[in-house]
Amino acid sequence: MTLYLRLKIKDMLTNPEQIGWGIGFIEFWVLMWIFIFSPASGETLWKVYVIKTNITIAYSFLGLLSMSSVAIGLSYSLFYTSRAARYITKFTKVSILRFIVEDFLGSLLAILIFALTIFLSVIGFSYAKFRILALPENPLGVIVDLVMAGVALYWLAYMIALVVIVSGRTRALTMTSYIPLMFGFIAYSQLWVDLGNLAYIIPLCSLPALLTYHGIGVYPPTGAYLLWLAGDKPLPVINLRLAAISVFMRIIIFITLSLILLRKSRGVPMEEIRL
Amino acid sequence: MEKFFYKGFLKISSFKKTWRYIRCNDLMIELVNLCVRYRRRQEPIIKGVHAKFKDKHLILGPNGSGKTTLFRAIAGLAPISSGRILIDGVNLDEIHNKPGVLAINLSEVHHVFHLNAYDHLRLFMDLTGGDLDLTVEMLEDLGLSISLLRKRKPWELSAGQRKAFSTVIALFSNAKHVLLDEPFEQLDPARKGRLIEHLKEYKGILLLNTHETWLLSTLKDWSTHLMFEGKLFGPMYAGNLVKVNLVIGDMPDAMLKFTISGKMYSLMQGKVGEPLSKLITLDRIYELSLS
Repeated sequence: MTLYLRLKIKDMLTNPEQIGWGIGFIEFWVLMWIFIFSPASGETLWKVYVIKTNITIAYSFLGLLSMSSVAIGLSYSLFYTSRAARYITKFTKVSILRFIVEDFLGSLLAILIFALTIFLSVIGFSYAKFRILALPENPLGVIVDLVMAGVALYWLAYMIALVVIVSGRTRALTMTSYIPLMFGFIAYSQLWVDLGNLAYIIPLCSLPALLTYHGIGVYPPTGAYLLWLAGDKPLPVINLRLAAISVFMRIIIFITLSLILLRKSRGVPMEEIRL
Repeated sequence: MEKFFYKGFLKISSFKKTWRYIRCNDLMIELVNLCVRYRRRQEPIIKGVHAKFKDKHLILGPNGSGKTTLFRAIAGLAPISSGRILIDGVNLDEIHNKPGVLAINLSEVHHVFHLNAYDHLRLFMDLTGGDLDLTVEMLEDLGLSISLLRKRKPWELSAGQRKAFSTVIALFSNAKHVLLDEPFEQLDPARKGRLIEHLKEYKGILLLNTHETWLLSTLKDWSTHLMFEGKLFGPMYAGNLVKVNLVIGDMPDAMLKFTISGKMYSLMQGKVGEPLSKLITLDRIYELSLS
């Protein structure tokens, strides 16, 4: 592992803002979900199943929110280091490709560590309350889904930072850097709202369905997860293949746009950053 | 290829193909009709500059004259609207992933992570192949201890410490060309003195910009350009400029004439005008124009 990659990971995992928003803030909602909003412990098989589904939905949605929060910090760090990145890839042994790959791998690893922290805490706290160990039916599937979410969010954050740099609208960063979290909350709204086919179109919205499917092993709906959990009303089932294609397409679009914008970017001067 | 490696040629091991063997005589930065502007409709900050930089150079100009922008352009950090920059005969746009070519002391290029200054120092020495121990030695000489660097992030250092930190990283980056932007700014007098000694002993090609004219008498054998309103004037030896006076107006026997804000200035020998080296800073040129 190169020094750059090691320092990138250290940077992501020791940044107090990232820890505060990516873990501290989300852990608060984990505790609220498990100890305040969740029903009492289950005795019957049906109740155990409902609790397991509830726990799966919790780590799917809250994990995604945690990753979206970290993506805000990613946009900022990509923006602030835009000058350094240009200098490093021109006059040091780091090539542009190596810089992109190492930055991506370091960030992805850190995002996954944040998401896994939320995942483990949901499992741990739910065990403490219900005495039910809600491990995923398909752990590999869950990990793949989390990796896809991390990749999509990294490139979304990268694309946003580059749009700001290339357009010269540096003051728009405060607003635009929150776009990943906005998408995260639109996805979160699926707990109450059935987005229908929009779940395939809006970025990140098909990810909770993939996570829920691999977590509990049943086909989730296109939205209104809490209604689905209560079992009051039949809801349209999501097309998982289409959901996966939607995530892949997002990733390809974000990467392509980022690489196009990267060629036009020369970085942001310090004076403009401080404005 | 090895047969081409003879006296007069310098081997740059990390370079590829055409970069591998370059003539020592070609070691220079060449600016050809260079214009720089950040936005399309903005007036250029650098206006048609022609220059060749070999050995040790001073660029002397008041604040706002475009010195830092010129350095940013040479380091590929500012958009070139016309003209070109050649480093050792190679167009700047074609230079990628080439350690040992150029280093600059702008703080903004040495802030990569939300980590302490020592981690940044380790990173840049690793990326450029510089000697970490020697760098630490010089930083300590300038009053920046390892414990301080481990405790603070680069932006948490004082302005003078930050400048010294970036300057030392640039000097120890093993680069043939080192650009030092205002390296003495906000340094205390003791550190200024020590840094000057280091710069005099430095063996590579140095390009230093400043607004402090007292340096002229200290770095007498350095080639010097004056910079006003995005234009370069010169070169002249710093030692010659020590004896020169600045006169407002168009003088017939002037060594050099230039215009600032529509006002003509002349540099000439003799007893008329204000000695350039006594201005202390070239920023005073604006005060003179008012008096």
